[in-house]
Order: sequence, then structure tokens, then C-alpha cells
Amino acid sequence: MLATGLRQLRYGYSLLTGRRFSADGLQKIVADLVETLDEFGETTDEAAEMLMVAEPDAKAEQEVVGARLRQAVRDAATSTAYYREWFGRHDIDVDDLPITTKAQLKSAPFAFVSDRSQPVLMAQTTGTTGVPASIWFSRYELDVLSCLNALAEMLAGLRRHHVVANFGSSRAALPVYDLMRTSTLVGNGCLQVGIVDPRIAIERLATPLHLPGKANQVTHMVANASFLAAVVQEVEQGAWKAADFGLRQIFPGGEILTEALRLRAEEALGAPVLETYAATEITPIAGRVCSQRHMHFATHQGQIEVLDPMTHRPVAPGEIGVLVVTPYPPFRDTTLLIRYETGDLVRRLATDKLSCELANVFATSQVLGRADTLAGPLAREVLEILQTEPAIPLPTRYALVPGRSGPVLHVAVPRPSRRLVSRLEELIAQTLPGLDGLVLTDDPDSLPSPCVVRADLREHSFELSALVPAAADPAPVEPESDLLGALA
Amino acid sequence: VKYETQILTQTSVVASIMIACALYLWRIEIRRPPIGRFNRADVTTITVIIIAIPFAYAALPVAVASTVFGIVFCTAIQTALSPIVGGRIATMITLAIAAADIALAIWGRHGWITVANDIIVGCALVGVTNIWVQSGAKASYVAVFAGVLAIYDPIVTWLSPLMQQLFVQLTDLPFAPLLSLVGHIRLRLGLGDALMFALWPVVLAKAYGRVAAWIGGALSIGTLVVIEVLLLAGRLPNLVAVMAIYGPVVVLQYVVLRLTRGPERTTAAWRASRTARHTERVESVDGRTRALAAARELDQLAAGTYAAFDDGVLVGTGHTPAQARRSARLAGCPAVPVVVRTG
Repeated sequence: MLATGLRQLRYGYSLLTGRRFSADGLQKIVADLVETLDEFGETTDEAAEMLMVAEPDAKAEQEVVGARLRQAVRDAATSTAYYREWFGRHDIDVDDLPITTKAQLKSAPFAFVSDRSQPVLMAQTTGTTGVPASIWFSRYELDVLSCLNALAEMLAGLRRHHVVANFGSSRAALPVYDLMRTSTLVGNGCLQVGIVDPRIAIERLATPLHLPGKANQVTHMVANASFLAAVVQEVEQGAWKAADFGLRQIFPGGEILTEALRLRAEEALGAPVLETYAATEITPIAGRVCSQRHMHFATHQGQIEVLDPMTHRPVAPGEIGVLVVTPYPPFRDTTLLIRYETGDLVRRLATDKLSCELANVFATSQVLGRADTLAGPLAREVLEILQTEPAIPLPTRYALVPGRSGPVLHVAVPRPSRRLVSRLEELIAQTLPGLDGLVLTDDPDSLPSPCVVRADLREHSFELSALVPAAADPAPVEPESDLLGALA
Repeated sequence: VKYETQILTQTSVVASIMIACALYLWRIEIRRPPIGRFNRADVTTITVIIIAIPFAYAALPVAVASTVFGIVFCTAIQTALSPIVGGRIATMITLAIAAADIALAIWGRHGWITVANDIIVGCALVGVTNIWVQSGAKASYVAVFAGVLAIYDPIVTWLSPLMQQLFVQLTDLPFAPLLSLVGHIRLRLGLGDALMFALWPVVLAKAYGRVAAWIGGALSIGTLVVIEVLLLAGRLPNLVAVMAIYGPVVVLQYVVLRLTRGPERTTAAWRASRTARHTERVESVDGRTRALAAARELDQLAAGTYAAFDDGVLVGTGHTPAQARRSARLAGCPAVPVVVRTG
């Protein structure tokens, strides 16, 4: 207890002053928490407050944020080529800092890497827009990230006997590495499956494991929202039931998760869906969605702003803007970014008027869409309608193209019917009155603009051939009645 | 005072403290640290402190040493009382007891200060033992602690004059770290001895259950009575190294329990056993062994078919493990079966 207390003091000191964490000390705190859970079964409420840091009051927050932002700007201006060049041409003014766009990061990733850093791992974004962004991380950052994630996941309920399956892309180096490290620290089981055929994913989820000290099936599923949608579709259309799985929690991320899809996933897979927001560029800053569907951010890890995409001025509460993030030291020391424009649209919320369990924590709405689609209906609004309709296949494929008096919505549906059209038109009239028309097409490739989702990063597997008979005949193979023994 | 009365009084007081510690454990949940548990590092720290106490008392000015022990005792008492009467009242009661002890020492009330000191030490022991045990202290740690004291105690008691000097020096001081009871110098228990007597049955209750705790308590009281009788019969030197006798008893009981009962329980398992709280079931090894044996004898299925077994009984088949699991569910098997590929 004594040594644990001292380590926690050291951790708190780093959080308060912005000095580097002791990676070794953090690993020991993780081990302390594992030991605590082994001994007592559960944590106390104070554990979460101690480790995840309660939000400071407004004045203290202002002081800490100001100091941390100045430190981040100083580090970037003195140690990265991009910001050294930029601040060489402009005065350093923390009230008028440059916006860093994804295009700038893509054009010269090396220019954002600190001279003082020791980069060891390059993580790339999925590059759905064509060119991925590259972000380098140091061993220190990876150690800190793994430890913080291990602490957060244990406080959220992850235990040694759980088994986590990651259905994210196997090429996504950072999440895969982090899953492995985190699982090693916590002691839970983990398996990297990747974005495979949804039938293989179901196979992994339903297969009994029977490992010593572990749950009998996969308990936690990590997947992009579009891949989760593909799995839900397969479960709904196949002969699978939630009882076939042993899931306890599902963590979708990386894409918009609609309320409709969340409910369908919970029904199909039999586990609560806990949505988070994260992006490789702004690691380790992450948004956590509360019970009232606000997205909350811990502001001690970075500055979170909601800005007008055109003027880059802060928007008022209730208005929509783009999420702009500045990760603070001591969380980042390699790829340093100031006011990084994520491109994700959110609605700014008045934090002081919230009544959820995280009411005092900075909050926005969930991601509504991308900044480049601000002119038409927001992606979330469209998806929310389309994903309530079981006749439209998941993941949803649609395109918006300009029409005479507004955008026209094109949706890929294998068997369009008049009844479906009328149902959709009725829904659209209620929620998206600005649309000029609806077009259903049976071929996703014939959409006027390609609808790319992360589930398209499909990884090939030889295993699929073994599943083909099952796909042709989804009915289960019944054991012969005389072999059923006691259960017959 | 007759020797028999002294023995009876001392034994009763120690037994009362043991019972108080056990009742506290049974009825009151103490606030534990949010992260961390009582571990080897803590045992090492406590051992060093216990070993250092005589030297500290000899080296430090009396007022400083008394202040240090006063703070330690008051913290333990306040922590123990807080869940019962609330933090503020607990603080007030603790301060009142401490003030009384100091006042009696200043006024030189010889008999009364002994009683006040014993009350403070007794209450502090209830607090300390429960803080330790409810913070996850293991019986193995306590046994190691007892083993170390069993070596240290005779050295400091019999081979050096330190302990003798200490007992004389501590007479009538507030917050003296000993249980002195009736003033006869030979029947005093040092803080380490008293702590071990109070702690052992309580940690056994958590680790191995009530029966082990009762046996531990009986062995402790029995050892104390034997020491007292031998002392009065003149078979032991005037100053007894109690842990030299009691330490091996503790270690021996732990070894017997470990060999016969296996690993000790965690705090979670102990609490679950008291409240019948549900804990997540993890598959037993037997189910897997039976499934493998049953699969070997299975010749009705085509090679490469996956067979699902529940407790060695075939409950489903499929082209893949997942399909076999689903087949078992459709056949009415509520458990997750063990799936084996045949052939």
C-alpha cells in the first residue's frame, strides 16, 4: 500500500506539472490495480477519480490548460521543422495559433516530428480519402498509452478472465500494438482477427475457448462501426442468436455509430455497445459517450475546440463546428500537433447545462459527419434513417448528389420495392425535409459517388472455404438423437 | 495481586482484544485504499518499524518517541471508529482518549495510566489488524512476519539489555507501545507480541475460514497461558521473548493449513462466501478432459466434424466450432460446450 501510494503521488505530480511520466511507475500502478482487482474483485469509486482525474474547477482548469498549451506550443515551435518555420514567419501568440490540417500533416509527416524524440513506430490512418496520414510514436508514448488504456479499461470493467477480440484492420499498427500491450498488462486474453468476412467474425465470437482462468467465449468485441454493421447484418440474416455468443461489451469506433445500429447490435449480439471516439493523430485523447449520448473529453490531456470550419472561430453552444485538438505534453513527445483539425463535425454543448453522469466534463455531441459535407444533410442524420430500415443492407451505402432544389439521396438496396420507397420517403419527409429526391439502386457500384467504409478494408482468409457449406445452408447441423445423451 | 489472578486477567484482556478484532472484521467493513493492497513491501516496512521501535525509544527523546506512537495509535483508532460513529465523532473520541492518557501521565496517576494505555493499545490493535486484513493482508505474510520476529525477539530480549531498559523506561509514559495490564513487569506484552496475538486469528478467518480462526485463537491463548505458567513457575527468565515461542506456533499452523487446505482465499472470495455473492464461473479442467475422452470414443461422426460436449456428453455437431456450439444451444444445452474436432 505504501509503495502504491508513492507511485500514485508521482503520477499525480506529472499530471499537475506536465512533466514526463515515469513509464516504469505507470506500469507498476497498472500492476497494483491488477493486484487490487485480484484481491478485492472490484475497484472503489475513488480509484476512478484518482487515476482518471476529476475535472478541475473552471479557474484551476484555465490555469492548467494555459500552462499546458504554452508548453505544447513551446515544444512544437522549438523542436519541429513545420512549426519552427511557421513561427519564424509569425509571432508566437497563444490566442492566435495556426490550424494544422490533415493535408499539411500528409504533405510532410517528418516536419511534425520533434528533433528531441526517438520515434519507433509509424502509425497510419486508414486513408479512406486516398492518402493516409503518418504519425510517429516513441517508446515512451507507447508505454504511457498502453498503461493509461489498461487503467481505463480495468476501471470500465475489463478483468483478467475476459477475452478481447479486435476486428479492426490488422494494418492499423497503433491499435493492434496497443491491444497486445494492454492485454499483457491487464492479463486478459486477446486475439487479433482483423476486418475479415463477417462469417469468420461470427465464428470467432461463437467458438468456445475453454482456456484455464478465462471466460468460455470472447467477451469483448472491438470493431469499426461499419464492420460491426456487417456482423449485425450476418447475425440477423443467419440462424444466430445472441445466446450463441458470450459477449459482455462491444466497443465500436472510428466511424459514426447511429442509435439505430447500436440498438440492433445490442439485440443481435446480446451485449451493451459502449461508444468511444479516438483518432490516431490525436492519441491518447479520446471521447467517451455518456448515457445521454454526449461525447465527453478529458481536457487535461489536450485542448479541445469546436470551430467554424470556414472561419476557424469558436462556435457558440448549440452550433455545429469542426473538432480541433491540441495534444498536451507529457502525453505526446514525438509527432507534435497544434490545433489539429480532425475534420469531424460535432455540435458544441453547454457543459454547465448537462445533467448526465459526466456533467462537469467538457462535452460535444457525437460525431455528426465530416466537415466537407456540411452543405447537405449530415451523415449521422442520413444513416440514422437508413439504419432503422432492416431492408437496407448493412453497412449502409449511400451518396448525396446535388439536385434542383436540394441534394438527392441515392441508396444501395439489393431488392428495391415500392413499399420500401414509400417508407423511406415518409421518414425523410419527417426528418430531412431539404432533400430533393430519393433514388434506390440495387448495385452499390452504381452510386453516383463511391461510398467507402472501413469494413471495405477486407482481409482475405483461407478459412472462408471451410465456412461455405454453412453459408449455403445456414441451418445448424443437428446431432443424431441417440447421441444427445442426457439432454435428449 | 495473586499470580493466578494476573494470569486470568492478562489472558482475558488478550482474548477480549482478539474477539473484538474478529467481531469488527465480521460486522464492519473498513474503507480500504482505492488502489493497492497490503503486500510484501508493507510487511517488510512493518517488520523494520517493529525492529526499530526499541532502538528508536532508546535513541529519541521520550517526548518525540511518545508523539510518534501517539500519532500512529490515534490514526488507527480514528480509522477503526470512523465506520461506526462517523469521521468527526471518531476524531473527537480519539482525541479525548489521547488527552486522558497524556493528562494521567502528567499528573502521575500510576495505575490509571496503565489502564488508559492498554485501552489505547487495544483499540489501536483492533484498527490495525482490520486495516491490514481488510486491505488484503495474507496469512502467509503474517506467518513470515511471525517467523522474522521469532528470530529477532530472543536476540533483542535475551542477548541485549535493550528490552529490559525499555520496559523500565516506558513505565508511566503516554502511548507506550506495550500491553502492561497489572503492573507486574514480567507480564507485559510488547507491541509486536500483542499485534501478532490479535492479528493471527483475524487473518486466518479471512484466509481459511472460521474453523481455522478458532484453532488459531485457541493456539494463541494456549501459548500465552503456557508462557505465563512457565514464567511464574520460574522456568523462564524474568523477561520472556514471547515471539520465540509464539512465532513457531504461527508458522507451523500456517504450514499445516497450506498443505492441507491449499492456497488461501482472496478478500473477494471471503466476502463472497459470507454473502453468497455471485462470482463468474470459470470452466473446470474436468469438463475438457471428459470431452477429449468422449471424442476419442466417438466413431459415428465423419472425420473433421466438430463435436460439442457438455460434461462429456455429446450435445451438438457442426462443420465449424461455432456451428457445433450453436447446435448444442438448439439442442437445449445451456452451458458453453467443449468443442473437439473428430478424426
